[in-house]
Amino acid sequence: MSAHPLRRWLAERVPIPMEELRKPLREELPVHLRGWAVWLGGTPLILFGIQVVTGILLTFYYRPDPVRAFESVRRITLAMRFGWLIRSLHQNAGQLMIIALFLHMIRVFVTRAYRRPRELTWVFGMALFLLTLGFGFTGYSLVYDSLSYWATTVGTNLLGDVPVVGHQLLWLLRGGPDVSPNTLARFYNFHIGVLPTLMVLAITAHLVLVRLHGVARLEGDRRHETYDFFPEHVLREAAIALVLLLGLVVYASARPPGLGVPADPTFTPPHIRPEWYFFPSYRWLKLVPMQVGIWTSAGFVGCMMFWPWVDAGLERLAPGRRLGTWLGSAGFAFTLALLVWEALS
Amino acid sequence: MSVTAQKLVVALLSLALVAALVAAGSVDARRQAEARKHAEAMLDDAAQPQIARGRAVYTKYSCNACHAAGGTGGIMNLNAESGGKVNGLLHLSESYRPAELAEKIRNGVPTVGKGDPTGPDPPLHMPPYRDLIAGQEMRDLVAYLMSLRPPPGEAKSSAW
Ligand code: HEC
Ligand code: HEM
Repeated sequence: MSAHPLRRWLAERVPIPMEELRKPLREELPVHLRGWAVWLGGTPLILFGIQVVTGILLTFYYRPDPVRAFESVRRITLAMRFGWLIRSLHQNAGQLMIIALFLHMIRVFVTRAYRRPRELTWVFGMALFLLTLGFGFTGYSLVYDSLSYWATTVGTNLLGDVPVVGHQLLWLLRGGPDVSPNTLARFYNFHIGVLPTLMVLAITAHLVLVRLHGVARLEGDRRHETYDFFPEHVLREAAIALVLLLGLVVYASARPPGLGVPADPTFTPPHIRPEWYFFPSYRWLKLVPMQVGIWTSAGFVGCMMFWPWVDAGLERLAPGRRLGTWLGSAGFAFTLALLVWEALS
Repeated sequence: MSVTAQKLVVALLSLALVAALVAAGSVDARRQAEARKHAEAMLDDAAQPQIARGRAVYTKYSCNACHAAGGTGGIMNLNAESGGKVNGLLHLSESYRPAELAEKIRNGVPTVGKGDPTGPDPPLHMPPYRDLIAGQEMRDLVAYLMSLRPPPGEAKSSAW
């Protein structure tokens, strides 16, 4: 091999076995991933990448201090060059990420790719989902307009009703009994420090597991052909990334982000609502008594978290009846119904 | 799809993205211009608080209803001698001294000259503000009106 002199120089000083490292890129993927399923796992990853880049740019001008937060968002939106674009990308890629995760979960659920030995891939996946919701909640509160301020107040209030540790949880999150300057500092820290760190760790674990197991073959799929991760799969992902960016930029130019009313702790606006992806739990908690709501929600999320084992248990209970698929679909339909209900009311 | 076709798709999409970013650039330029104008207005107001107060008096008493925001005029006034429209207030500093202007506002313009002598009376006239505006408000309003100037391009053409 006639390596470039520069490459030889580098290989001598930094003796990384490049051939070894290239192996992961030679992964062979089952052909079904060529189809629609490829959209789903890679998409949240791309969107997360967009979030990291735009998020870093936003931190250059955002000020996590109740007196200046709203003003700094206004400055980003109206005065900074391309601030409106960066802010719009960050907002909308965040929304898309949640939709993409939802679709990815549905595909994994329907193809039952979470079953032994891939249970932990699912558990890390669920952790990623919850972390993403955490990003959404903390991020929304940073805007510090009237709606986001009150969504934060009401959202954190819920924690206070958690049995036994509720009070401590509330205090931990708010940094005091009320939503205060401490709260904003904490949410900012979670949003740009704690959550991203956990996210990167969990994504790494998730992808390492996916890679170690290889992507699951479809049940009953007799095809044995595979295709290469590189360049074919990477090209597809690149195309998806470009389509997403294109859509986000065009949308931002057509409808640049607006500004709400600055937060006023002494005035509660009439329609407080969380972001749409919290609609299901919001509607559910309004529907049933608080304690019932909290316990059932915890049970629901726990069930999702440990779904591979729940499903296996149901399978042992009634082999071949696919009880798990029915139960999971019912749960999903119920969640969707609550979301639509809240959206329409 | 062959790998070559895929590469082509990726290349085309990249071009489209570049085009979208260029378009976003023009959106940004427009927003920057607006922001600059806004910032300048804020600066002006900070430097000349009396004029900012006067502008507020101007809208408080709805002068803008007939003379338009910023005193540019042009509201329809059928058969008025000033071209069928209420006149603008951009040239007051050329023909009035502050005391005269205040007097004009106090008295109003009860009859507006007809454009066509055989035509109908113009429906709008300038109401007297004698009982409404006085003291500091009048001084601020007059300062504001005296500060009005036609935009640079127009000044030259209307001078002739
Ligand atoms: C109901 C409509 C109306 C309102 C309200 C009104 N004006 Fe007028 N104003 C007129 C008309 C009509 C004239 C006479 C224009 C003409 O001769 O064509 C006039 C004339 C004037 C003139 C004399 C202009 C000149 O070139 O000599 C001044 C100054 C003036 N207005 C200031 C004001 C101010 C200040 C206010 C608010 C306090 C005000 N106007 C409110 C209708 C109005
Ligand atoms: C940031 C969030 C996430 C990223 C970036 C991500 C990424 C990926 C990628 C790239 C794959 C490869 C196969 C494919 O593309 O479909 C995959 C597979 C998988 N994901 Fe995720 N995922 C995320 C969240 C989740 C969530 C929320 C779940 C479920 C709760 C989940 C469960 C799984 C499982 C079980 C597999 C293995 C599927 C198989 O082998 O066929 N993931 N993930």
